[in-house]
Amino acid sequence: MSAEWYEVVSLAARYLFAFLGCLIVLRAFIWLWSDHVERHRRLRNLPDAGIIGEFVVLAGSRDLSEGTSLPVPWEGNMGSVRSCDIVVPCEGIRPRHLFFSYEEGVGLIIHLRRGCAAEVDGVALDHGSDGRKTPLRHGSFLRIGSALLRLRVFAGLDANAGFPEAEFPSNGEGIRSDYSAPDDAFPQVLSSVPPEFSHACQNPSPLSPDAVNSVPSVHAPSFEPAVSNAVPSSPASSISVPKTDGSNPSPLFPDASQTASKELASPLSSSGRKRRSERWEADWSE
Amino acid sequence: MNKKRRSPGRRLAGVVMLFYFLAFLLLALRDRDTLGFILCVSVPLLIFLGTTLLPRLFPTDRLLMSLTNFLCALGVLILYDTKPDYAIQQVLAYGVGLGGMLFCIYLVRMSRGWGRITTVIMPMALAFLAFPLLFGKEINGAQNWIVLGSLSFQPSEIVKPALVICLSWRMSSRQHLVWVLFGTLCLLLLALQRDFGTALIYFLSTILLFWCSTGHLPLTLLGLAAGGGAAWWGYQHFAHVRRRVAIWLNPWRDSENAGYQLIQGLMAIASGGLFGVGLGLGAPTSIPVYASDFIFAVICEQFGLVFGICVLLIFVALILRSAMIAVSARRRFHSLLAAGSAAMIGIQAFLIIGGVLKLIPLTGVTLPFISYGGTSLVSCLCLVGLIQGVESLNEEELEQDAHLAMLSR
Repeated sequence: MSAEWYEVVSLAARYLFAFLGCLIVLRAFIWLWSDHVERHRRLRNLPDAGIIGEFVVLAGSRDLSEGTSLPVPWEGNMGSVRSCDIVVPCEGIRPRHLFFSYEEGVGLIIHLRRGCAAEVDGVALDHGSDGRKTPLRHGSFLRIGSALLRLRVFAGLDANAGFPEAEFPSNGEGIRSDYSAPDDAFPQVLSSVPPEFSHACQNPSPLSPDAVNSVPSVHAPSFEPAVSNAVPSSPASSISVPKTDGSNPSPLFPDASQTASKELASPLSSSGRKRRSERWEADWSE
Repeated sequence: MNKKRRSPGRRLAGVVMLFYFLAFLLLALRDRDTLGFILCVSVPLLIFLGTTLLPRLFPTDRLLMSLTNFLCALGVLILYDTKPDYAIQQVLAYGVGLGGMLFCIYLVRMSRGWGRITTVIMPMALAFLAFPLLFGKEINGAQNWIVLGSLSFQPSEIVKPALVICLSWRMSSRQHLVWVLFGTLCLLLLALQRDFGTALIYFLSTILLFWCSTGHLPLTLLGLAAGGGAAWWGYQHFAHVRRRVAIWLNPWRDSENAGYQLIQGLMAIASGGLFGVGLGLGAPTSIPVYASDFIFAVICEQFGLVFGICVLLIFVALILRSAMIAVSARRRFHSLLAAGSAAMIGIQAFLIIGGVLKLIPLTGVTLPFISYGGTSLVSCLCLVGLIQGVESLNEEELEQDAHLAMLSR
């Protein structure tokens, strides 16, 4: 092409290039927007997305009633201000009290901020302590300030999420590892908390020696395998807690274990999870 | 009758392919050059493969890939117009960068022991940054180049992805002393090399990451103030910096010498007007360092201000996309990784475009993806790889959630 012709074609083509440039930008932003909308649509249908479980409030305050469930993301801050991922407006809790992160196969790890204190299953933590030594697992108790929370980890996040030592019972044929614990288990927890323990929960500090002794050693370990794999090896192994007066242990979750037994017949029909989804959807729409 | 709608990805890819086909064809007809005809077919084909085939083989984000490919191809186009040898080198660097990007994607996806990885990376990065002080070559006032035979590279460019990884991990695991020490040492080594442009990118990225990590505005502002103080100290003590500021304030004072480059750049942008002087026309080679630092002025001259704004908006779209990925990430580390990578690309683009337009003092850094420079291109593609890795994890987790939700119904 001669230099003259090239100049003519190039001068004409510059308008086309400018137009194509604008079109590229327009289409890039349309794509960006449509992807954004699509992601929101997907998230609307997945209320559990990004959540590893929930804290159930066993002892709270006027602003945080007992039985409230607080969704737990993979990582975040817990404190009394609204900007925290988990807001616990109770006495003795600082605006940003602790940082938590969930590690598959380990559990929920707590990192306390300076000047803050907490107890995990009765073990006192302070700033600088290694949270990995005392991770919260399914059924663990967390006490911060005047609040007592119990963690429930959703089953199915991972084949053994948070339950490395849990084993499948020998008679657990046909049971899925992603079985979800029934949602009505925790109301049972609340209704079954012994009065002595309940009283101890509401006392800010110090925690009563009875409660301290009973919480970590008995509750958590016996609760874990039963719900993680959701298959009690026998009816007699249902979760139990000793009464603080030293009498024989009483079943803590009789209905929960029954529900679990029902679920064995149809492990995929986890109606509790659906109810929770509906509840959260309603909450979020507000 | 149902008419099948084309996906936004294909629509974008179609326009980009048409743009590059016409542009390379025009240049090939001018020169009657075989390389031009090869590029005229191969660049659109590569864009098509990069947008459609690559995301099927590897977990990549198609929009990010499309935007990155558009910017890289624009660099090749401008270089082919002005200096074809550079274009071939840039294509080779793009191939290496693509490999680096895929490596970074799998690094983010597969790695578990980030603590150990960053412990190894940090001393290596510092050693790499110290290397030019011992064996470096001084180019344009900064001793930040390593020349090995015919191969030359800037270690500070290679360290960029490493810096983002180390800072993100240490900030997310709350090891404040470690990242502060590492960041300070990196800045110190860059200051000793008098590579203030890269030091500014490192500093601003670190500050932005800190703010993203903690949300602590007073400390972030304090950090910025400390940076301002250091800049003032640098201005007082380095003639190199004083000269840059003086050129920025009034380039016409020394229009034949120190201000010549900036003036030529401004004149090129002005002569381009709204729609440019036409591809392959004008005098882009009259601007000193037109292939790397002043490539934006060449784009504005040839394609016009309208297209220049389009390029800026493409950068904005890239940053927005990365920010969305960072916000969607479930892990603090992944979030910071995506945010840090995006910040580094965005800050670098802002610094050089602002410098060329005389908005801020000129810093000798490259325009990401477009400027000539193999190390810079590979480094930027690695940063995009880190973002892509985070996005692929986000997608995977969302699909896992969808699967679980389906099971529970």
